[in-house]
Amino acid sequence: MYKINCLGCRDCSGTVSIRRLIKIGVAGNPNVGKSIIFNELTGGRAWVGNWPGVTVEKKVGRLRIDSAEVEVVDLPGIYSLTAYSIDELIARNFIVEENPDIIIDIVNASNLERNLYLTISLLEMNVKVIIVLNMMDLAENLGYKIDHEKLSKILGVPVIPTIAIRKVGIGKLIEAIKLAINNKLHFKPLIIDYGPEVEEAINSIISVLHSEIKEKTKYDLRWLAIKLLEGDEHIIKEVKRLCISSKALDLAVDYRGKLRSKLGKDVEDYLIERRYQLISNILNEVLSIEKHVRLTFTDIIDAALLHRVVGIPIALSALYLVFRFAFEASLPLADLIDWFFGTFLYDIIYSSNLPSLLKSFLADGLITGLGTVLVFLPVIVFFFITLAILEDIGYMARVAYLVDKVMHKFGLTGRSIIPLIIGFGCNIPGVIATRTIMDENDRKVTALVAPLISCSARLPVYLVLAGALFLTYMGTVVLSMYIWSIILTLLVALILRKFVFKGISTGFIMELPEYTRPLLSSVLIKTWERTKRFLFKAGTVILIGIILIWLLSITGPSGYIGPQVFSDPALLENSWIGVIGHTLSFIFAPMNWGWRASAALLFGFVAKEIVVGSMALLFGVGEEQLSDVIVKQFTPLSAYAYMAFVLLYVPCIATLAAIRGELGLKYAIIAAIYELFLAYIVALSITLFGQFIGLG
Amino acid sequence: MKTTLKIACMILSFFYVLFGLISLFNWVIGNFPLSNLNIIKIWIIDIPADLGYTLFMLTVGLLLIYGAFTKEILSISCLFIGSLLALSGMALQIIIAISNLIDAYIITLFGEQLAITLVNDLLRPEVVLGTACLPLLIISIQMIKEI
Amino acid sequence: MIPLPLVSSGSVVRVLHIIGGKGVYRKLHELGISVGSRLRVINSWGAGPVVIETLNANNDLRTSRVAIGYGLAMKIYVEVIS
Repeated sequence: MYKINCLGCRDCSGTVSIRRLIKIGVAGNPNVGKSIIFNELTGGRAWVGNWPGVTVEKKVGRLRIDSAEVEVVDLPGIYSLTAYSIDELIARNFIVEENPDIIIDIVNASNLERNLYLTISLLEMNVKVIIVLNMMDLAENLGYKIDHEKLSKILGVPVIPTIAIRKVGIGKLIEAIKLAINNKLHFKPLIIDYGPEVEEAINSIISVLHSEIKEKTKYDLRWLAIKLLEGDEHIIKEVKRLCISSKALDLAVDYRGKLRSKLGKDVEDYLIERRYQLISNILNEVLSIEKHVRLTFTDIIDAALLHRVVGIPIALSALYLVFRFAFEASLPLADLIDWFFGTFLYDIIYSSNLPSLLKSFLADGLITGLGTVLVFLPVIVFFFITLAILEDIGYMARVAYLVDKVMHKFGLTGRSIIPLIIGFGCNIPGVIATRTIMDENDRKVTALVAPLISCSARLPVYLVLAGALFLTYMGTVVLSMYIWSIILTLLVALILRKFVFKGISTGFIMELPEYTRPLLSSVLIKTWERTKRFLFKAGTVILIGIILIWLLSITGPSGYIGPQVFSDPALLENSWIGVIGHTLSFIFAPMNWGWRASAALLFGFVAKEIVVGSMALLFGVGEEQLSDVIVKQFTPLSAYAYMAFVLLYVPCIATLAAIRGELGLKYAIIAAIYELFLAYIVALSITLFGQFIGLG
Repeated sequence: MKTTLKIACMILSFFYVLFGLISLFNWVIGNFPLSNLNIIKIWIIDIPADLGYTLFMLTVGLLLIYGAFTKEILSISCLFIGSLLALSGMALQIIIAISNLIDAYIITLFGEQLAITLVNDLLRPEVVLGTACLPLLIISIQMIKEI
Repeated sequence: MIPLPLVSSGSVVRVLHIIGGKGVYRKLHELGISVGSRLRVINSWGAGPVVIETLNANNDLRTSRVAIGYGLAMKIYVEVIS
C-alpha cells in the first residue's frame, strides 16, 4: 500500500492510500493444468486478446487480494526460454518488458525432470518465481514422493503442492501470492555453476557489457552473457542495439569457438547438459519412489484405444455417437427455435400495426434470416460440448495419433484432424483451431481445406433436395455428400502440399496426457469460445447480408417495387435479385438450375443456412410446399450437382473472415476462388457424367 | 479370464455382429433394390439401415471377442472399452428417444399431430443388448482396479 | 541400429542418432527425446506412428508418454536394450 500526501483537502488526515496494480505471469509446460489454475485465480474474470503482432492468444484476468488489484497474464505453454519459437519469445519478452512482480510456474509433479527445466530457465532470468507443484495426485499414483519443502529450500523459492482439478492447494497459492506481494517472502537468485571454463567466459562478457551498455537495461547481465554464449539470435540483436560497440558480441563469438574445442561440443548443448545435471542432483535430494508403479489406468485402456486393429473402429464409432447425439438429440430445441422465429415472432410482427415496409423488413428479413441460422445453434452447442469433453479427458490426442498415418499420405499430420472434425459443426471455429498446428505449411493447408468440410449449415440443402427428389435413397445421398466432403478435403490437401506448399512436414509429435475427469468449467469455456464464433457470424455478417438481400429484393432496375415481392414471385423476378439470378443462370446453364436456384446460391455466400429459405422466397412458397416446387424445377441429376456445388463453393463470408484472420487477405481470396472453380468443375462433371450414362 | 465371462462375451459379441450385419443388409436392400428381398425385422425390434450403426455394432462385437480371446491387459482393456461403448450407444438411444418424445409435443405448436414413437425408439438392438453389457462393464472396472 | 517404428512393443531402447536439423532436434528434445535418452516403446504398428514413454535416467520409471508420427519416428535411430 502506498501512502501519499493529499494536496487539496484540508479536512482529511492528509494521507491517502491507493491500491497497487500487481502483475503476475502464469507459466509452465503445455498440459500441466495452467488453464485450470488460471481460471481458479481469476474466477472467470478474464478477457482474451492477442499478443502484439502475432496470432497467439493472450489471456488476461484480474484478482483482488486485500487492497491490491492483481493482473494475471496467461503465458503460452513452453518447455524452455530459447529464441526458437514465438511462444517462448512471448514469454521472455513479457518478463523483460512488462516486468511482472511474480511468475507462477506450474510444474507437473509427475514429470519433474522436464518441467524443472523451465523453472531453472526462469530462475536464471532473475524473476521471482512461485512454483506450483500440480498434479500431485498423478505423482502419487505413480509412486512418487516429493519433498516440496526441501525443493523450496534448494531453489530458494516457495513451492506449493496442488491438485488443481480438485481445487486442493489453491488457497495456499493465494496465500503465497499475498505474502509475495507484501514482500514477506524470500526469493534467492539462482546461479548455476557451469564449470570454470564457462564461468570465466561469462564473467569476462559481463565486465565488457558493464562498460559497453549505453543505458540502464532491464536485462540481467549474467543472463545476457549466458545467452550471448549460447548464440541466442534475439539477444544478439538486443545487445547490438544496447551497446556502444560490438566488443561484447565479438568476445562471445570468440569464446564460443574456444569453448567448443575445449568442451568438445557446442556451448549451448553443454549448458543444457549442465542444467539437466543440476536438475538430476536436485531430484536425488527431493524425489523418492515409494512403489514401482508400472501401469496406470491410462496405460490399460490405451491398450485397446491405440490398438492397430480396433483403435480406429473405436474412434469412428465414438464419432458416430457424437454425430447422432449432436444432430438428433438437439432436434426439440431446434424445432422450438424454428417455431419461435418462424411462427411466433413472425405472426406477432405481421399482426401488429407497424408500417408494411417495416413489417416486411422485420419479419421477412430479419426474423426469418436470423431464425434460419439460429435453428442450428442447438446442433452446434451439442456437438461442441461433446467434442470438448473428449478433448478434456484426453481422447482427442489419441484420435490424432490414430489418423496420423492416413493423414501423412495426404501431406498432413494427425494434428490436422481436430480442426477438421470441429469443422463438421461449423467451419469457423474449425479454421480458427488450425492455430494450434505448429508447422507453417501444415497450418496453411489445413486452414485452406477446412471449408471443404461439410458443416451443419449445408445439411438443410441436402435434406430438402434429397428428400424431394431421392425419397427413399435420401439418407444415402446425404451420406454421399459427407463422403465427397472428406475425399475432396484430403485430395485438395494432397495437391496443395505437393505443388503449392512444398516442403517436408516437421512431423507429428504430441504428448499423450493421462486420462482425467473433464472439468465442467473448462468444457463450458471451450464450447462457448467456439459457439460464440457462430453466434457472432449470425449477429453481424448475416444481419448485414440479410439487409442487403432484402434491399435488393424490394428494389429493381425499374426502381422501388415494395414488400409485395415476398408474396408474389412474379414481382420478385423484376427486382435486382431477379436480374442477378438470371445472369447467374446463364453461367449455370449446362446444369439446368434455373434463375431462382442460381439466385439462392448468392444468398448462400452470406450463410449457407439461408439457401433453402431463400429458395422458398424466390419460388413464393412456404417451406412446407417447397418440396413440391423443387420436384418441378430439378431432376435428380441436377439436384445432385446442385448439392455438390453447395458443398464446395466459396466458404461463407464469416469463414472467409476467419481465414483472413488466420492467414491473411491473400489466402482468403485464394480460398474463395479455388473453391468456386472446384465447385463449378465438380458440378459440371457430375452433370455431364450423368447425362452421358443417360440419367438426364 | 473366467469361462463364464468368456462365454457371455462370445454370446453378446455374436448378437452385436449379427445385428450389425442385418443393418448392413437392410441398407443395401434399401439402396439397391436387387430382388424382392425385404427389410429384416426381428419380432417387434426395429433394426435401422444405417452404415454408421453397422460400424458401431461390429466394433462392439469385435471388442468383446478380443476381450474374450486375448490375454491380460489387452483383454481387460477391450472388455472395458467394448462394454463402455455398448452402454454409451444404449444411453444415446434412450436420450434420443426422450428428445423425440419432447419434440412430438413441440411439433403440436406448429399445428401438427401428436405422433409418439417412444416405444419404437426404445426397441432397438443396442438398447436391449446394452443392458446386458452393464455387468460386463462393472466386472471390467473391477479387474482394472485389481492391477 | 534401427529406426524407431520397427521396434516391437515393450522394448526398451536407447536413442543413438537423430536425422534432421536443429528444428527436429529441438522438437524431440523438448519432449525428452535426445541422443542418449532411454525410451520404452508402448505402442508400435510396425510401419506407423509410435507411442513411447521417456524413461528416467536413473531408473526405469516413466517421465512422460509421447506419440510420434511415422515420418518423424523414422528419423530416430535406436538400439534395443531389452
